[in-house]
Amino acid sequence: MPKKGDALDELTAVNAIDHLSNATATINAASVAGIFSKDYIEALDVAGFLPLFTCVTSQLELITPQVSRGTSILINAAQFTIQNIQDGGDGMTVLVLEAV
Amino acid sequence: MHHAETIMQTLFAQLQNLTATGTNVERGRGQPVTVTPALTLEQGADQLSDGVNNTAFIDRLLNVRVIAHVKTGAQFDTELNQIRQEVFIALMADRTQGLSSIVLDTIPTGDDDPELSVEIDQKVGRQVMNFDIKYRHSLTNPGA
Repeated sequence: MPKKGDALDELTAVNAIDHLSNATATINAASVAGIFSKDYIEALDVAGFLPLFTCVTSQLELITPQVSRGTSILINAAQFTIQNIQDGGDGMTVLVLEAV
Repeated sequence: MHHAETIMQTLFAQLQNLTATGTNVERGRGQPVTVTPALTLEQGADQLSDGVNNTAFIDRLLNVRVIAHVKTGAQFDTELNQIRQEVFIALMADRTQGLSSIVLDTIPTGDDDPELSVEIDQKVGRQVMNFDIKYRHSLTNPGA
């Protein structure tokens, strides 16, 4: 059940993505605008980057079949797999990606 | 040259051009791995193996660590296992490492647990393989 403030959260999220979006992702044939980042990071002495895609939660929820771990996602002609879905509860969701 | 250095240079050469890791081999790596799969060769302790019990020579056990690094969208430990097999074959084919006047034996002392990280763009795995190289040098000069 939607709680008080959800509508404001969504409006804020939509406005934020409208202003800050730098990429459009294709997920299950749907296009979703969002913020794509890939900051340099190291793990176990290996260099790499951390690919994240931040988007509006309600837009993700409209996609069928439902977005889940393992779903493919195409961003800037690069293919990724969704490894984790972090719903911030503020109208935004961060998708943690793995390069294919 | 200290026999330990001769051994390390020889092991470094032995680890070149393995099927999985090719020439991605570095000794005493100071910077993160950028191309995987890769190997890192590290020198460890160099203990006396039997104490000094004669007047002619000293036997030592040089601990050597070979570290496998993988980054993959596939099963990380499958890749590590392939590398471990290739490293083992390379280092155990000749237990003197072609240094029969120096090296008495190559003793595998086991591999550490495989480590996994999912903090970057693909799964990263690492596993340490441990070997003791038993070698002999003169009582007065570790290079002779």
